[in-house]
Amino acid sequence: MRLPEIIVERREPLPHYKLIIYYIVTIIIGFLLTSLATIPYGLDPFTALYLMLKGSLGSKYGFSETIVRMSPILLTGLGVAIAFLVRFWNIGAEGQLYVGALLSALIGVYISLPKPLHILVASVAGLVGGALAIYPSIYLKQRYGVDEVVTTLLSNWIYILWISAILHFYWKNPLTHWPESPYIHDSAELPRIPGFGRMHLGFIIGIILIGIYYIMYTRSKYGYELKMIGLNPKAAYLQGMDVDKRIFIAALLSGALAGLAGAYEVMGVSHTIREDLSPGYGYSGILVATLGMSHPIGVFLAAFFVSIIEIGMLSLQRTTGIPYPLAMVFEGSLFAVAALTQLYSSYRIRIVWRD
Amino acid sequence: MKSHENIIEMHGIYKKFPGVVAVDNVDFNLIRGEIHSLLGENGAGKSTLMKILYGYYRPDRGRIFVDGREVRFRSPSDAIKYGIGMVFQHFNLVDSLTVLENIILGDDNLGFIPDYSSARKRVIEIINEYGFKLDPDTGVGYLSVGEKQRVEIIKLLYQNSRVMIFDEPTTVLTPAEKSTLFNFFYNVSNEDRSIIFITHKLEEAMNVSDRITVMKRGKVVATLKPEETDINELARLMVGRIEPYEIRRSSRRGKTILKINGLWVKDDLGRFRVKGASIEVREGEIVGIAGVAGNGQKELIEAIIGIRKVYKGSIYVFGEDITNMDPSNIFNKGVIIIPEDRNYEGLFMDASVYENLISRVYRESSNKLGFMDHDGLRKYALKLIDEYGIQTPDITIPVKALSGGNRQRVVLAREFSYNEDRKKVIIAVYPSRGLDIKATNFVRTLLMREREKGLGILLVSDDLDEVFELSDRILVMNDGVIIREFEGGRVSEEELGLAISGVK
Amino acid sequence: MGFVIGVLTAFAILMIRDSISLMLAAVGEAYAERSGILNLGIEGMIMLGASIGFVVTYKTGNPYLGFISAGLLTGLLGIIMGIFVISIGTQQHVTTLGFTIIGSGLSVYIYRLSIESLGGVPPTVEGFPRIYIPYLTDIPVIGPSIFGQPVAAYVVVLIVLFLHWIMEYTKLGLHIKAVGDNPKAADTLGVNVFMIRYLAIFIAASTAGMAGAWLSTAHSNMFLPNMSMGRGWIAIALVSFGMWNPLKIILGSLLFGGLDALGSVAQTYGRNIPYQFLQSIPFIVTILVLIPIARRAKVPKALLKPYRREEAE
Repeated sequence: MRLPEIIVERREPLPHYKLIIYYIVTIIIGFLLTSLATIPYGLDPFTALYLMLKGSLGSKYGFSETIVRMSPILLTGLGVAIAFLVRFWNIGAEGQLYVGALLSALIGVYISLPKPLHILVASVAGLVGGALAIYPSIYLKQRYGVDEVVTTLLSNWIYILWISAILHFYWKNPLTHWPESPYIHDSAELPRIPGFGRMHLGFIIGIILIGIYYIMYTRSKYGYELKMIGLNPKAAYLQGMDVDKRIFIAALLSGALAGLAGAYEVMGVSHTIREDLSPGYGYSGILVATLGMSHPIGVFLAAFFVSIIEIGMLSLQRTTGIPYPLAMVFEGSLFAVAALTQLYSSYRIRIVWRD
Repeated sequence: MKSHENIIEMHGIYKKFPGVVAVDNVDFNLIRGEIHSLLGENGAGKSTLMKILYGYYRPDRGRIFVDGREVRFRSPSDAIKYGIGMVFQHFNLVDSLTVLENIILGDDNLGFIPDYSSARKRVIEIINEYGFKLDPDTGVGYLSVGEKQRVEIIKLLYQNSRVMIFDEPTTVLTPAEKSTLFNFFYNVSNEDRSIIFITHKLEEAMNVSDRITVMKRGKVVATLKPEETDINELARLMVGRIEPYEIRRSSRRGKTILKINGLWVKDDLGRFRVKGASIEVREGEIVGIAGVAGNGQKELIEAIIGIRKVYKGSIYVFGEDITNMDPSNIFNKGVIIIPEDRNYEGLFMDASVYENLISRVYRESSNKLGFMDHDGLRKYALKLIDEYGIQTPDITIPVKALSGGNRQRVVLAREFSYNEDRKKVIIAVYPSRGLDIKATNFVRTLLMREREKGLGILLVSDDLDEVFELSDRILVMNDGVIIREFEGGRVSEEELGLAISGVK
Repeated sequence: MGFVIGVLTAFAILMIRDSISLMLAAVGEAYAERSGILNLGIEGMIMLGASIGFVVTYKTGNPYLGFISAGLLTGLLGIIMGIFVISIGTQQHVTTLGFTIIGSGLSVYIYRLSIESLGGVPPTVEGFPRIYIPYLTDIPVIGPSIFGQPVAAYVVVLIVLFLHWIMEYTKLGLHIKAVGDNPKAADTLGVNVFMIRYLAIFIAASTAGMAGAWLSTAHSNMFLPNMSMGRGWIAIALVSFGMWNPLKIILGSLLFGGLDALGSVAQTYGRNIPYQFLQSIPFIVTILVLIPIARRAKVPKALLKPYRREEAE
C-alpha cells in the first residue's frame, strides 16, 4: 500500500511577492474547504461568496456596517499585533475591551464635560481600562514567569463575569431595567460620519493609529527594537536592549488599544455598556494580528478582510439561513493558514507517496 | 553461516539538502572487526553518510549492503535490527528518564508492560562486563558529559550492535576519558564488532584506526591504512591547499584591562560553580582558559557580561568596578562578547543580515525622536560586509540563510567595528566551534589582529589546539578555580592535557 | 436543616459532575503536552463534542452512541490538527487556537443543521441512566453524588485511570514521555515520533470530545453554544498544576469541580448573590495556583517544538 507522507524541508528564503501569492492561494483553499458547509443549504461555494460580498460591500448600508465592524477590530488587531511583535501572547483582548468599555462608560455617564474634552477623557478612560486589565498578566509573566497565554485567556472570563455581575446587580439601566448601564451623555458620544449610517469617528482614529504604528514599525528605533526582541530576546538582551521594559510597554499598549476599542463601541455605537457589547472583537483582533503578521499594512488589510467575512456571513444567515458560526470555522482555518505561511518563507512542503 | 568479509558496503550514495549536496556518490565499506576512521572537516558529509547508514536519513540514490545482502532502511529501528548502532555528536538522551529507561526505550522485544527487572539485570551485566561506573536508576539529567556518553555506549551494547558508529565522540572528553574510550574501541573490535569513528582530528585517526577514509565536500577522497600515510598527507587530503595562518605571540603587553578578583558565582540550581577564580587580562594579549566544559567557564563568562549575579568577589574593567552591573552598562564600559552559541545568543536568525549588523550602532544613528538613519546604516552595513568578506547575495536576506562561517563573520564584524577607537576587552567563547578550517583560520587571524591593536582578549575554548596556538597565557580552570597558569608557547600539549585532567 | 442538606447535596453532585468533564479533558491534554504538543484547541473540541454527543443522542436515543461518536469524530478533528502541528510543524499556539475557533463554530453549525429549532426552547435528551445502589445511594450528600451519577461518570473515571496507567506503567507511556522531551533521541532509537504524537493528539482530542458529550448529555441534557464556559482553558492550566501527572490532574479536577459547583449552587439557591463573582473564582484560583509553580514546573522540553528529521545542523 502506498501512503502519503508530508515532507517539510528547508529552502532558500522566498521573495516577498511569492510569499504573498502563496498566502492568498492558501486563504482561497481555506475558504473553499469551509464553504463546502454551505452545500447542505443548497448553495454552491461561489454563490455563497457572491452573496457574502454583496452583503458586505454591495450596498452603502452593507459597506458602512462593514466599516462599523472594522473599527473595533482594527484597534484590537493593532493592539494584539504590538504584543505579538514582542511575542507576548495576549489572548485577552476581549476582556481588556470590556474593562475599557466599563471605564469609559463610567466617565460618559457620571461626568459632564464639554464635547471634545468629554470624548478625550472617556477615550483615555478606555485606554487606562485596557491597560489595567492586562497589567496583572504582564506582572505575573515578568515577576513569576506565569504563561501569559493562560492568564490573559482566563482573564477574559473573569472580567466579563465581573462586568456581568455589575450590570445585573449594581448598575442596571433605570429606564430599560435591562442589564446595561445608563446611557452616556451626548457630549461623550463619538460623532458619526454623515451619510455613512452608524460609521463613527473611531474608524478615523483607528486609521491614524495604524499610520503611527506604520511609521514606528518601519522608521523608528523602537520598532526595530520590538522586532528584534520578538525574534530573539536573549540576543537582544546581550546587545544591550532593555528587553523587559520594552515588552512591558508593548504589552501595556496592547491592552490599552483593546480598551480603546471597547470605549469606542460604547461612545460610538451602543452608548451604553452591555454584556453582549462585543461579538468577539477581541478574538477577531487576535486573528487580525496573526493574519497581518503584526505588520501595519497587514493588520489593516486583515481587519478589512475579517470584517467583510463577518458582515458577509451575517447577511448570508439572514438571506439563506446558513448559520453564522460558519464564519468562525473559516476564521479558525485562517489561523492555520497564517501558521502555514510563516513556514512557507523558509520551508518547502510537499506530499509524496511512499510504500 | 559463512560471514562476508565486508560487513557493510555502501555504493553510490547521494544525498542532497536544499542548496547543498551533502553526500556525493560515495562508496564506503567496513570490514568485520576493524576500527575505521571517517576523517573530514566540518561539513564534509561524514555525519550525513553515517546517518544514512543508520537509517536516520534516506539517501536520494545509492545502495547499502549488510553482510552482502541489500537493505533498505526506513528508520533507525531497521538499522538497529541489522546490528548497526550510532552515538550522535549531540547525545540523544531523554533527560527526564532514567538511564535504564533511556536504554530500553527502543527495545522492540520489550512487552507493552516493560519487564524492568530483567532489563535492569542485563544492563547491570553490561555495566560490570565493561567496567562502566553507572547506576541504571539515575536520572540522565543529572549525569556528566562523560557519563552520558557511557549511557550511549551501553545503549549500543544492549542493542547488541555489531557496527558501532561514533560521531565526534572525543570533543567533549578529557584526555583521560579519551584513552578509556579508545581502549573500549580496541576491546570491542576484538569481539568481532566494527567501529566507525567520525573525527576531524588527524592524530586521533592516525592513532586508533585500522583504516582511514577521508571525506571532502561530500566525496570520498581516499581510503588508507595509517601505516601507509602520515599526518601531512592526511591534512592535505582533508582540506586541500589552504593558506595556513601564521601563529604569532603578543608583541607588547600593556596595562591590566580586565581584573577578576576571587569570584564566586552560582549556577541555576544554586550551586557554586565559580569558586574564587582570579584572572587578569592585559592590553595586547590573549588569555586562554582551557579546561573541560562544565568547570565553571559558562558561569564565569555570564558573570563578566552581567547576566549572572556575582556572589562574592569583584570584576574591574579599565580600573572601574563593573561587578553586577547590567549588561548594557558593562558593554558600554568596553566588554564585548562573542557568544558561545552564535545562532541563539549572538544573532537574530530570522532577521536580515542588515538588521543583524546594526544591532549595536542603531542607537547612535537615531535622532531624538527615535528615527533611524537607514541610509547611513545601510552604508555602514555594506562596509562591514565588504571588510569582513561576508558572503551574502543581499543585505535583506535572513541571516539564517548564511553558512556558519558567514554568520560568525556577521557577529565579529558587528562587535569589532562598533566604536573602533574605544578600548575594549573581548570575551571570545568557542569562537570557531562548528566552523570549517577556512572560517576558523579567519576567526583566529582576526583575534590576533585585534590583539595587535592593543585589545585584551579572554579566550574560552574546549579546543585545546585553539587555546594552545593563540594564547599568550593559558589558564587551566578546574572545578571553579584556576589551578594552573602557563606561558603560551612554553608548554607542551601533553603537559596542558595533563593539567586539564586534574593531574598537578 | 433539610435546606442545608439540600444545598450540600446539590453542591456535591455538581462538584463531581464538573470534575468529570475537567479530568477527562485535562488528562487528555496531558497526553498531548507530554508528547510535545500544546493543544489550545481543547475548548473548541469540548464544544464540538458537546454538539456531536447531543445530536447523536437526540437522533438515536442512545447516549452511549453519542458519547462514542463525540470521542471519535472530535478525535478526527485532532488528527487534522495534527497534520498541521505534527507533520507540517506549524506554530502550535496559533494553529491550535485556530482549531478552538473552528471547533466552536462547527459545534453550532452541526447542531443547527441537524436539529429543528423549536422556537426558542432548546430540545433536551434523556441522557444516561443513573445508577442506584441500595443503601449506598441513599446516604445523604455522599450517596447521590458518588453512588448516584449517570453511568457515563463511572466510565469516565475508568478511562482516566486507564490513561494514568498507560502513561506511567507501559512502554507507550515511556515513548510518549520520550517523544515530548527529546524527539530526536526517541527517533534515533526507532520510536516513531510522528505516530506517537498523532496518537497523543487523538487521545487529547477525543477525551475533550467525550468531555463535551458529558456536558450535553449527562451534566445538563441540552446543547447550548459556548456551554463549555472556559473548561478547556482550566483544563490546560490543570495540566501544569498537576505537573503533567494524570493522577495529580484527576485530584486537581476535583478541587476545580468544587469551585465550579460553588457558582452554580449560588445561582440556583441565592437569588441576590451576584453569582458571577463566584463563577469567576475557578479562573482566579487557576491563575493563583500557577504562580508558585510557573518557574519550577518541569515542562516537557520539546513542547511547542516541531520535529523534523532532515534538519541540517
